[in-house]
Amino acid sequence: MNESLGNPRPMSALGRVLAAPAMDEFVHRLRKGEPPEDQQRAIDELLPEGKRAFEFGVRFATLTSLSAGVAGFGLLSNSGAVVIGAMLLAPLMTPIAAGAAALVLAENRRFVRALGLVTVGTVVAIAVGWFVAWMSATSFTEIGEFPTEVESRTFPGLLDLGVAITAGAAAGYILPRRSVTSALPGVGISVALVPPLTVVGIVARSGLWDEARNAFLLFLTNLAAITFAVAVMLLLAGFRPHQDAGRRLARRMSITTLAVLAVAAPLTIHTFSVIEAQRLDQAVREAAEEWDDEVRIVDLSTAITSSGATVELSVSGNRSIQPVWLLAQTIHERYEGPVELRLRFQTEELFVSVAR
Amino acid sequence: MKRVALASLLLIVAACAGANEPSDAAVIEVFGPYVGDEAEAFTDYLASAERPGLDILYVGSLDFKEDLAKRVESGEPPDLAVTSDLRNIEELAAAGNLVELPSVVAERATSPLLESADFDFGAVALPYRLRLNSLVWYRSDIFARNGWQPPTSLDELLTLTRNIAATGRHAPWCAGFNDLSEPGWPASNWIEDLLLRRGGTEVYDAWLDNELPYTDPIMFEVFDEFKQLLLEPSHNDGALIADLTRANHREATESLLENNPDCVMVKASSAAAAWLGNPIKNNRRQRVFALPGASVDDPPPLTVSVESIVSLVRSPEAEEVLTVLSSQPAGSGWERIGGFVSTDAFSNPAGDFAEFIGPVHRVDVSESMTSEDRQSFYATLQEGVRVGFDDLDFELELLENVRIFHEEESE
Repeated sequence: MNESLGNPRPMSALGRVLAAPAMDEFVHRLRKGEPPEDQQRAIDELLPEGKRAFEFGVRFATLTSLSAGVAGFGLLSNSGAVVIGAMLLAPLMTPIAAGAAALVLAENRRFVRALGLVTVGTVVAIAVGWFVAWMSATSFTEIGEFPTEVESRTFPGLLDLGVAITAGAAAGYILPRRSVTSALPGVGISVALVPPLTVVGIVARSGLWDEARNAFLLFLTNLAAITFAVAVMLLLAGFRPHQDAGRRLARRMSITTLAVLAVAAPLTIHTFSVIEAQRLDQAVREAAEEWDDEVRIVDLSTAITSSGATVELSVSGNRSIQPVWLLAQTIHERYEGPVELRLRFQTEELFVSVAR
Repeated sequence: MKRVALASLLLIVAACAGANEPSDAAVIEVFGPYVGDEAEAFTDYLASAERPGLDILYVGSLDFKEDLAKRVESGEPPDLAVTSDLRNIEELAAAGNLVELPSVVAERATSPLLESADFDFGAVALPYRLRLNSLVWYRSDIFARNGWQPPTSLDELLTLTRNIAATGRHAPWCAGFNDLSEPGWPASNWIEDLLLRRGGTEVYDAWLDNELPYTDPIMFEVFDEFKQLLLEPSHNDGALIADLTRANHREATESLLENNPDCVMVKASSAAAAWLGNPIKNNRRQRVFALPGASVDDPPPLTVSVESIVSLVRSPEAEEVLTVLSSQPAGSGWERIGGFVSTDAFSNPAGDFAEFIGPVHRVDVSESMTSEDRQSFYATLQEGVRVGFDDLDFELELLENVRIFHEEESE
């Protein structure tokens, strides 16, 4: 950064890196020429200005509420089809894409407006989720009691980040090209924005704050990844700041990248947790077979904490139960870590009756 | 047609060990009754005896007593086991299933309690931890709000119980006499404590020696007092008296942790600090008083369980582990959860529960009974509570007949 940009504040180490000449050069090297006018217009029209802005805001809030409502009922009734319907209704992608475009074009006012709309959408969707859960008198003490459509959105992993980045790139490709807007619903479905927010409201109503935080993390993942990917695609399409703001652009893009990395960290931890949980699951199944190859696993749930693994296992068998300590020991050997096992054993009995 | 039939059976087992043992290391298995936080605390203590090439695997089971018996019977005993069942230790030793402690460990394995209990162990049990059973955990905040004081005599305890019940806001007692391992033992602790107070040490010792008939008037007095304290419908948190036999002991006592608890007192041992929180160190709302003596002048006597480590398989590694453990401060693993009482607490009162240690103490009677006597005692208690001990004379006579039958059978 130099004085001609009119910022006399001392720079941090990070600022110096972001504003380094090499970074500027990289950004300028990307410049291949102006994008076609119709593409620029398509991006400009994402967020209407003036009088139409109010109408747009009302329409946005209404559609977000309705979408969250549909998502809420779909999630609680465990209907994937209904949840997909809600994704198609959801208008959140527009302000996020507009925000990414404003980032690339260095249009601060538009960026703030886009951010404001995203915030409104976020609050509305969470509130509707809470309301739907209240209205349907849904309150559980454990996340496992919720329908799988809800539960699956409380454990985001790195794969979700991958989906969000590729779908965001698709959005960045589609948005300036009116000829391929028919593909936009696909993007909406790939990176569902409203359902995770609705899940935040639903599980928060049951006081499950950890799960609510995870669902919100999934939303933040989508938000950061889409912003990043759309911005990159617009840059590649030739979009640049209208005025002499190329250097600020470099810094903005770097901040977006950092945001993506920031959400990637907890997602990495989550992903490793998933792998560890699968390893434990496998160890339990193999140990159960070694323990008694005639038992059938009816239900299995596991949890891993800092003090070890907890295994809740229900099995059924047609002969008397084998020593349970032996099963715990076998799981311990295979999992190679402390295990607490809660076993429920059901005896299967055969009844034959005839009436002639 | 294939059906899933019969009620399901819930068993809980924990297995813990030191981390990352190399596959060629010798593994010493310690089998015990602890699960959850207690298993973690015990494992921390065991870890002090691990070294490269020697690992310790702790396996815990809530069905510990039955599992241990089966393992011994089937020739698959663990290397070491931790138990408070004195009679079981004696029986295992008599049957040649226990290995004598190394001499250096035997010298350290002394406990005045075990000596006074008159058990013929030989040097096979390393006392590890005491459980003080005669404690009452109460909600000090609710007591203070209502001007209630911890009682100083059994009569005061009954008056306090009635006063609390009269307010209608809380039941005086939360109780659950069920337990996965041995249903009925929590009720037995009440009878033992009341008998030690009302009958004194001589009568209690006669019961310990299986010389006190259940038809003795003192037994009637004690069972009746238990009935008055606990089994009046307004005196406990059960909707029905029979609920007390169905409720799990630990879950029932945990209701004391709620902001607006159903009850204000539970009778539980010092080990309950693992789930009720250490009442001394953390200055929590749940605090402890010792079940008072019969009169104001009697210091509260204590019934105590002695948890000991025994060796079932002879090996140099098992001897090494015992030697190291006997030289370590056993409470080190329990600092986080509390509830540890050292085996020398009566000669050298210190630690979390030192203030409750008085001159009179006895080992837990039911843990000194033969398994047959204990089972019939527990079963009678469960059945008696279920029907509210409506015919106490008959129930005690039945219990006495069973005791005589077992006695004659063993002779």
